Amino acid sequence: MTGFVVRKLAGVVTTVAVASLVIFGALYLAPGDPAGLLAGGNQPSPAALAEIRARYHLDEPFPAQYWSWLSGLLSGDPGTSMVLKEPVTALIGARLGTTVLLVAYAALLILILGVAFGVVAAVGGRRVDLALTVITTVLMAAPAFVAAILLIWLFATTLSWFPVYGSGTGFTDRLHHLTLPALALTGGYLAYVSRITRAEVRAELAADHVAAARIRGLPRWTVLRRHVLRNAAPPIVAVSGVTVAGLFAATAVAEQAFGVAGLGSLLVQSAARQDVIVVQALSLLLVTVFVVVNMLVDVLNAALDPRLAREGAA
Amino acid sequence: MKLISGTATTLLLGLTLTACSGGQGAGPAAAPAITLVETTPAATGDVAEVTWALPAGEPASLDPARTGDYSANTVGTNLCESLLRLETDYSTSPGLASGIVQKDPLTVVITLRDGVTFWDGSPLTADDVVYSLSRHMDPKLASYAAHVYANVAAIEKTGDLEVTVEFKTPDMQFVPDLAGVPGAIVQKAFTSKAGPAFGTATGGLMCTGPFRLAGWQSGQKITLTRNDTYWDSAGKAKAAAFDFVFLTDSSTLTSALLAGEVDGVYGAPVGSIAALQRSDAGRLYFGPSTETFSLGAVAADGPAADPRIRQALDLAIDKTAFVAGVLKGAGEPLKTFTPPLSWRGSPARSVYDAGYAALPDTSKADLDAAKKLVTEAAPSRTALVIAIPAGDQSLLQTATIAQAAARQIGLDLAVRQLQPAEFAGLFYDPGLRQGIDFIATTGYLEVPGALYYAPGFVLEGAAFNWTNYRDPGVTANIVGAVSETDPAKSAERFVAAQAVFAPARLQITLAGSYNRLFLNKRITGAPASFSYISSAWAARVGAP
Repeated sequence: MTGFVVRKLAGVVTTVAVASLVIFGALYLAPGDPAGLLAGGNQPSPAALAEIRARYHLDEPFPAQYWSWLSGLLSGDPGTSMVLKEPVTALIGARLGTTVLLVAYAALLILILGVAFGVVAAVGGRRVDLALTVITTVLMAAPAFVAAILLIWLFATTLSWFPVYGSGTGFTDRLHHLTLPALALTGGYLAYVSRITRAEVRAELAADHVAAARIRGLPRWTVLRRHVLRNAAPPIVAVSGVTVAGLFAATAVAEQAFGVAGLGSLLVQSAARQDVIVVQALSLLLVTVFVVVNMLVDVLNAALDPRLAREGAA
Repeated sequence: MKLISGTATTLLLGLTLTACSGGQGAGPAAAPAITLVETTPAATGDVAEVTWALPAGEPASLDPARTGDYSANTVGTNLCESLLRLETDYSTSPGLASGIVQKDPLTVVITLRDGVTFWDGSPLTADDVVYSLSRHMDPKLASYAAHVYANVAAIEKTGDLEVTVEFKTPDMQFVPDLAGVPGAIVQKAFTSKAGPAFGTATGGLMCTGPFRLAGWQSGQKITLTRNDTYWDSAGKAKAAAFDFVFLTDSSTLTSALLAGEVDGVYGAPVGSIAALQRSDAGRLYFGPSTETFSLGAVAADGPAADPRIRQALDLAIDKTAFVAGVLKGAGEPLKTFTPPLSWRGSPARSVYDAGYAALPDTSKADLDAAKKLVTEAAPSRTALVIAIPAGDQSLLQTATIAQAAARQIGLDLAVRQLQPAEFAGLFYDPGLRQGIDFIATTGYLEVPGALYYAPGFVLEGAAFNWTNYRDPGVTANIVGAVSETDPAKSAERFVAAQAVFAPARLQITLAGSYNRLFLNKRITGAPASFSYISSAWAARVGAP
């Protein structure tokens, strides 16, 4: 098991290292010169442009630029925003809590509702199954920004249950503000998790050991819990992990639509303003979170089913 | 199954359309008539707190040297005041300066008002003014207003309350520019101590305005509080606090206005005009503006450099249809790139008005004349490229309209969307303009002055003269206009030049848009004119 975790960790480090090079290279090759936007105004003088290029090392060769960025990152300083003139750590620090809360909120909704829908669809009758399939299909078809418009129209403008925009202050007020964004994020993922759950539970229900347990006269709930859900868990956990990891990237849409001050809206805003330093740091952070969450899911699954760890070793 | 999901999606989309446009049935003809007002009814009482939206998003900085766009201006002009004040009719009046005199073509004398204090109580001095103006000339600072100071030779203190500006070449646009952010005054001691952090969320500001910067939560809001020791008691703010929130999504912004969560906005979304006009949460006002939509020729060679091709494209586009389609009726066609509001407050207004009235009117399309011009010009190629900044919906519509019009006169106009940095680069890097014939842009004047645009477009080697336009008569008249201290004579020379360069369509000006202001019914007093862009407008907002 220890060997399995170490191997997984090595994979994470390699992935993040490659990602850092790809992210930096992509932005280096992106069309347009950040200096022009940073100079602002409508007629930047050559002197001003040269000044900006020197300040941000934009005039140095690629390896030198990449190295100065990487050494800054490794020493815990991702630099200062070119546009906002604030340290990147401060910008991320001010928004991290909101995004984590939003992702956690959406993840809980997705996992609880998704697994519940899936199990009910698998064990319930044909009508229940059909009804849930229709609901999840509709949810799947609605992209987050469309869901945002609908949710605002129904719950904020028409019913006034929730605020239209903003991040709120304090825990309950923040939950109140983040409910609609979390629901907007939930749609497609919820359908995905519930479909996988339904398929896995169905497959387990048809297995021999479940039939044997039923014949032994065990109560229905016990059979479901001990024999069906336990065996169906690993694929569901794996899918859920990928879902939660993906949520970090997906929050951008919901945060923009609901005027939530999180990392996603910071990424969108920084990209639009060519604030390369912030975009680099945020992209790498999102990749790292994605890879780490996936690793944790693999480890969790291996703990649930030790055979997985041994398979990986073979 | 497929059928159900299809129906569900259709239902969703149907709802969405209703949600954001409030019914598409009413065409532009059925829309309520638009009346223009310069101001809204004056406020009679104080109000505790106002929440105001910034549709262009969070400002990058509030340092006047880094202020040059909608968001930063909307907030910053209530904090850092300028030497002159901009009125709703685009005339100017004394601000922190009690008077500014153009002594001769090369000398401007600024006399400061006595008794002005910064937020910390310290008096405004000539040193602060010299420091504030000189900052824009420092290449290290790379001020957005650097071009305003391009012709300045020296800025010196010539008395306790007097500052004199000497010029290398005459520049009659300089004095009106001081009504905007380029003439904003900051405290020398605080600014030099704050360094690069000045004007940021952590560095703060020190100015003289009716509001103080009380807080800036990165990504969430900027809070201003009333300056209770404001030097101009008549102009004291009526709101105790102003919260600026950043709402870039048009649909969310509209919902927040309708729900009363946001009290007001400048630049209300064009797509929501009908919904906002029907709302009983507040009122949508339309005011005069200097904002324009235009197509600019960027190539020094090829078809776009031929005035006949530009005139043909101008004649092929129906400006009235453009106003109805892109601006939903909230605008009007313009005859040239200098909008009339820019001289409305000038003592020589009648000269400018007569000159404008005499320009040819091309607001209606004339395809026969346009085709004739194309035949005459016999362009070397009919495939042209128009560039727009990616993601700008109005400009995409504009480019599409231009494309359709071009097709009717045998020109094939391809639309190319550029990332913001690439698009910004077009303005200073000729290399990036390779392979592009036209750009679609919006622009505005934040200060008065008929001479704001023209020199940059028509003089040889000027910043925006990308087609290498040259006309000795125009050059002589524009140089004469920027050197002439008598307003009437300056206006005559400008008008004479305009009569020649306007028909050359260096810019194909499509329309001027009206300023769109929405106010919740609990507040009033904000100027409806675009003059808000350079004035302490928030101080007037209070209870009805």
